[in-house]
Amino acid sequence: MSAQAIAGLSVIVVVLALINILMFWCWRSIGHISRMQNKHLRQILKERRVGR
Amino acid sequence: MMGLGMMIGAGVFLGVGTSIYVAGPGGVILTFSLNGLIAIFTAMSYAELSSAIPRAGGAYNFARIGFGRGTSFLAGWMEWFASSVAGSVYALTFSIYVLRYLGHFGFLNWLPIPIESAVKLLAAVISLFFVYINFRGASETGKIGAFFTMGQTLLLVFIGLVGVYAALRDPARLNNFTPFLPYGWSKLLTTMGFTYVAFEGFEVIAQAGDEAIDPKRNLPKAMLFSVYIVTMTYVLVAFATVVSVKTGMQGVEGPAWEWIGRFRERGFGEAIARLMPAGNIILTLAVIFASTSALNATIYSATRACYALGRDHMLPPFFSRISKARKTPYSAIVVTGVIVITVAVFLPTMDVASSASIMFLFLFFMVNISVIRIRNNMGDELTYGFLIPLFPLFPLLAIVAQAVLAVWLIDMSLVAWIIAPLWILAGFVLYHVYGRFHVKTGEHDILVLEEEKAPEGEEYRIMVACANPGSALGLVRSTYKLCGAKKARVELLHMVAVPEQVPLTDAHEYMLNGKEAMVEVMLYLAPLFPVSTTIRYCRNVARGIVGAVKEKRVDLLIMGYTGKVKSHLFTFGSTIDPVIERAPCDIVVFKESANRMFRNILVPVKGGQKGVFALEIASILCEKDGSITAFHVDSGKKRFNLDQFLKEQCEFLGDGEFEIRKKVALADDVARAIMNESSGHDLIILGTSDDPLLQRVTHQRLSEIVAGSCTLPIVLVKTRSGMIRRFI
Repeated sequence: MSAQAIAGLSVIVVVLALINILMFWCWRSIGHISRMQNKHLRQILKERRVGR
Repeated sequence: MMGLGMMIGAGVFLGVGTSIYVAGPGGVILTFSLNGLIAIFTAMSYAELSSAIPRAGGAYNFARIGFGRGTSFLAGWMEWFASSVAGSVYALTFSIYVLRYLGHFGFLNWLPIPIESAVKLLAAVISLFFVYINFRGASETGKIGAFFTMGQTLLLVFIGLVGVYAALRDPARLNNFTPFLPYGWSKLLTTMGFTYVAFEGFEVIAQAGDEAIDPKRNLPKAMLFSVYIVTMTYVLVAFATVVSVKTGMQGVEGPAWEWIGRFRERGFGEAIARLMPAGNIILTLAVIFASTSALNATIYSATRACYALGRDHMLPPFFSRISKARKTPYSAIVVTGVIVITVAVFLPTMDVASSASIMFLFLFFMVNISVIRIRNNMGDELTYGFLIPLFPLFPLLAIVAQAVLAVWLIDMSLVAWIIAPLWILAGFVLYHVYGRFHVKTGEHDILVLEEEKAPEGEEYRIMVACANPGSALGLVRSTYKLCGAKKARVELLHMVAVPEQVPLTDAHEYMLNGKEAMVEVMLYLAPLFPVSTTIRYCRNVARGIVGAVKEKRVDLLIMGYTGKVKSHLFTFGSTIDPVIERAPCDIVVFKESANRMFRNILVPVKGGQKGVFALEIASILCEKDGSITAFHVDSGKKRFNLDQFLKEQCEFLGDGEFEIRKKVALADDVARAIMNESSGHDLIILGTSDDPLLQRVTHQRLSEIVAGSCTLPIVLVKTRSGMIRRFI
């Protein structure tokens, strides 16, 4: 296999790893962390509205 | 399953060969992996919006909340066309691969028309077939669809794994990846745009957002997971295709990747057929599974979009007409069918696929803008079940990437770049000429759900499932007796079955029967017991009843059974069978026995909780001075002492003003013995159970045999059982 092919396949492996990390990150936040973030988000947006 | 079914359709079958031709052997894998990444960005936007606004409509709904009616019309208009054109792509894929398979048997030599015309003709026929299936609106198609989706996914994963195995056994096949990107990065962008249609399935999950259980958690999970599975499967399959042949193999002329690319949309098929024995048949099966389930899902999805526009009067009301017999939106189905067939027949395959891709790119572009706008403008009014991390980075990345892909698609198909803007322009004009003056507002934003609650308490809860006024009234006398004996509160439930193509928000069209049934029963029961009424909408009545039982924490469910079963697949019908199997409560089903008085009741018993419950129900239903016969058939398999059973476990029988008879018969055929004994009785109470799955496959239940062949009124009773027992 040529160096070009090895480099190309390595890029694909990196992209797939990125997809897996992103999925894991999203999966963890479904329903759990989002409750906390929700509260935080509400607070920020309310403050912003009051400011306006 | 719905999302997977729509995604693993044609994109991969048509896209792999063409991508190798346009972008080279490395380009095809990069195409699918990078597209997967962009699709996950967009799926995150869909997931966030669906978790906060879990209602039917998908992009149409999000655009309305984010930007107002005009933009939402355009979103619905684009969604309709995009799904229809995707349907054309799937029909063509089916046609190309089925004819390719038949070609191996010399079938094509017999064709009186050119192969291109045969492809178009078969695509039109298969489209017509699925238009008809959608018109019929059969609920069973959902189960078949899930089976097909599972089949196609497994087949593709299998093909991918065989490819990996082949590469490990013969590493020389990896030389096919040289050169990796022979035509440069710009060609990669073209193939990414062209194959993007293969990732659009999660859109249909958002469209059915109001039907999900626990949508805040399950919708984001379903969307992200389906994109993930699909991306991994596509990458595997693309890899298998590239390594399926070696340069210099018999029949392979020139470099292997060039040989595969030369076949363009059929390249995937030609390559996989050489990868493994029986490759042709496995591949054709995968294509049939994939393209038919995707075609069905896209016609369904397009119909819903068209119907929603008609319902909201943004298109003439003709588009929201519902068939009285089938209760499906026939006008929307027919017009959608016309678009699917016209595009499939009159446009070249590559232009059709490119048109679908470009339309979805525009649609997703709009959703990614909506997610930013909705979170900024009204995020504090919504409760999210999922929030995109590093907001707004990923929606912005998706917007930029999709814009670039859409622009690069010109390279692939100029026709697509003419059709798509023309359709959008036509929509824009139509909205300003017709839609904005006729649009309905307000009332359709409210979900139909009627509920009248009795005061809360901790007493025994009996739920009565009323199907229509006739059957509901039939249940009054028995319900009255059971409620009196148990000192229970009554929950009257009517499930409004709404066909798949009609959004649940339009359930009120189907509610009249249920309301009438409720009022009739209320007249009798309300003065005596605390009564709550609920009218619910659902796609599947059985699922709806089980959901209501769980939610209301019901102790006993009462149902009526006409004794007529339409399909041989079911014992007591498509509603009662699954309810008996899944409802976590005691169940009593009346067969032709609801509104009558009983003096001689036969209760076959063989011990256990079921027998006790059957005798308890008999003691409640039996009239004064009547008799209950506890009947045991000794087939010699199991020792059972009837006297001891009645004495130890059925003490309540001593309180009634009826006679208790005991009888034991010796027989091998238990069902026949019960039938023989039944003469002279006016009711049989049979215990049934959610028998373990494995047992049900091999044995017919006793209750099924007796209920199926006995002409006497019958009451079936079932006690609740645990999850583990159901399967083992």
